[in-house]
Amino acid sequence: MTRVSGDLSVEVVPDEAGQPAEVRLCASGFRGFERLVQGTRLDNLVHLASRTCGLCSVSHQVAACRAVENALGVEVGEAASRLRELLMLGHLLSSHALSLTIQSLPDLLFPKSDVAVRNILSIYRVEEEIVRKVFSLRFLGGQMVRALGGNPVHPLAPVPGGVLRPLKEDQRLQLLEALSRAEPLLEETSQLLKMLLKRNAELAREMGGSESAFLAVRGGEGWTLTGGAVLLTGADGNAVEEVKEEELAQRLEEAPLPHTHLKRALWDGKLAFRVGPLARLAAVSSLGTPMADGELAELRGQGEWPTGRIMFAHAARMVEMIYAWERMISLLNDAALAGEEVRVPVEPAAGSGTGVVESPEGTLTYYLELGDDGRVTRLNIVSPLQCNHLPLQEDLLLEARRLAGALETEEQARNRLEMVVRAYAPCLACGVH
Amino acid sequence: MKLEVVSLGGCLGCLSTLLELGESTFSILGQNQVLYMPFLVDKKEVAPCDVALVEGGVRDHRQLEMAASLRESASRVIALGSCAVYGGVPGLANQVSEEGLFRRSYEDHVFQGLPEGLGRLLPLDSCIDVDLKMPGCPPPRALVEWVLLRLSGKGEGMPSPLPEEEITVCSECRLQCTGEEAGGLKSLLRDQPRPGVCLLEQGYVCLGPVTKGGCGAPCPGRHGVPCAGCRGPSLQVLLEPSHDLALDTLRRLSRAAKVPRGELETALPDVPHTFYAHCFAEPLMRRKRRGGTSRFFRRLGETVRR
Repeated sequence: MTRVSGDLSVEVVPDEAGQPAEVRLCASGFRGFERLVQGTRLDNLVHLASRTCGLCSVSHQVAACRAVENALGVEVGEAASRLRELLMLGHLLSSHALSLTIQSLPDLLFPKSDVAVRNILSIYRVEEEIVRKVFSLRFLGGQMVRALGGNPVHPLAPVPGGVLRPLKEDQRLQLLEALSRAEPLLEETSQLLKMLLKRNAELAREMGGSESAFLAVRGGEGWTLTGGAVLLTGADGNAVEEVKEEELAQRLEEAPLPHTHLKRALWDGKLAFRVGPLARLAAVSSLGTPMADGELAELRGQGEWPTGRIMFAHAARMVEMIYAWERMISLLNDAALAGEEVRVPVEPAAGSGTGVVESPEGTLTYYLELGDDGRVTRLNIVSPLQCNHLPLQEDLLLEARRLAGALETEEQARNRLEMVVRAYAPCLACGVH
Repeated sequence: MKLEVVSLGGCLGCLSTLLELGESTFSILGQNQVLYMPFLVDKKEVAPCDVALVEGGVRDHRQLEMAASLRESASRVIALGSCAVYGGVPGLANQVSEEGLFRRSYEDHVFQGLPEGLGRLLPLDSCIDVDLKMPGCPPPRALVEWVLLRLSGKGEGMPSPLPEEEITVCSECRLQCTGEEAGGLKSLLRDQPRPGVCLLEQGYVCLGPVTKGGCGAPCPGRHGVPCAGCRGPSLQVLLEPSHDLALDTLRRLSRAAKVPRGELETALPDVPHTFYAHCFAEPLMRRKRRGGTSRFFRRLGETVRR
């Protein structure tokens, strides 16, 4: 697989009749992050956890912080949780823009062209303006992360107990200004995406859609990246169960598979579920901001809802980008953001806790145990790709069966499978850790 | 310039730095020929090229083969980021055997058809010759930008972002030493550092004095966060057997915080995570460990060739 974040290959295993019988996601690259942080003092934990994944570092940092806070009973202040939300939304914007531009735009624009031109660099040579525009959404997200946390890659902002420092007034105004200029950009990108999905309507209707439940973090006001609970929604869209953050680690059962370092996760050891943009939107009826709600209504009106038709994940990402943009503006205008107290002291002690956040790719769970001296004795990470593992495999099998004998070249068939994978925006570094 | 960009055992953080350079992102990726970069283009095989940027350390035989074929096809190989240069944070896994590492996550599960491990994580230059090393987690943006623009024949006359001499993070830091004594060991979890004052002097574990400079010391200087040593050991620490990250830092900290060394060692038991987080896998650092001082050239024995 190429144009995917990390090293992944897909094997299609045929049965005796030559028809696809099984699809395997083969990922190597196990690094042992859960083991290598064992023994560290809490001072180093966030710094190390961040290095699990450079593309999703913000999510890992916040998940680790929440696990520590829940283990030690630390309450994060109002201003700090808003600043964290701002940081995560900036990261979401930048990450979704990346998935859209680099990974999926070429497929939507040229689903059948030659492999050599089907990438963002060729598009850049022909349509420089478009690429610059969509890319500036990524820069905008990066700017948000930089203002709050130094570097866009492995930022310094999230610390156990809150965030590193308050947002300065001049930074706040700069960010607001940058955001206010982005509106036409978002509208254009959204139009472009709709046009492309319409052009690929047949693919969008067919691709993916294997049956599974949906899981997403649940907070007080609906759509959220951090909250006190997670909600499991059935394939039919009805809520199945709401579980508190601290109980989630016990409900997810991980198990290794023979051909991959990537484990799979099942709900209570039996139910497959999806996480990610489609799952997050499946769990809410409205987002609470006007523009995003309009887009969501349009998306829900497309046909089946909630849906596992994976090409709609692109549209779902677009809805979330618009929501992130609207929400960031209202957060930056919120007086509660301006508090000077953004960090409460944390005293290392024994305990155990779970931290759950929505990374752009989906639900990320950190389970942490601390020894008597406050050092890490155990860390367990359940990554979004582990949750999506079985649904993705199933979607690939459906696609492989549809493709068998139907398409002209192996190369085209391969790209169709890649399109399914890319629509999940999987992150292998998080996945395998 | 014909460019290839590959992540071996990395986290894609360094690689995504390439996408954070604003205008230079377009001129580096848009105006050079990118022949192989699985993250961005669909080519499935390596081809002869001018520059190969490699992120991440080497953990298994597939990564080793990829490194070797890049060495064969590229005129210059650049190690991008501390994982490629020193093994980085994943190198901390070398504290335990590979078997133990797998057992912790997979118990006695047996894998089929996956690449064999190398026994431990190795920095890139333990496997192939490397022409240029750009450590950092991630490397400083200005440095990545400057190197790549210069290599692609642009940025003529652009001044180097690096200091003229090999200096440490400390020498670039704008925090002031006041001579006031700290009262004991401090931690960012509990304490709030005084702004503008040297963190080591205040009693925080800051690796600035023993870490390679060139980043402009943004963490301590601008953000008030102690240096975690992400640019790797300073030249002096790498070259001189008598210098060491943990020993040198503890010595200074003990003086600043007015805490006896023994007490500090008890308070900071996680030596690998605190002092060697980004260079635990670096063979040159192994001689610093107990009994290792005289084996300066032990590194040669650790080189793996296909």
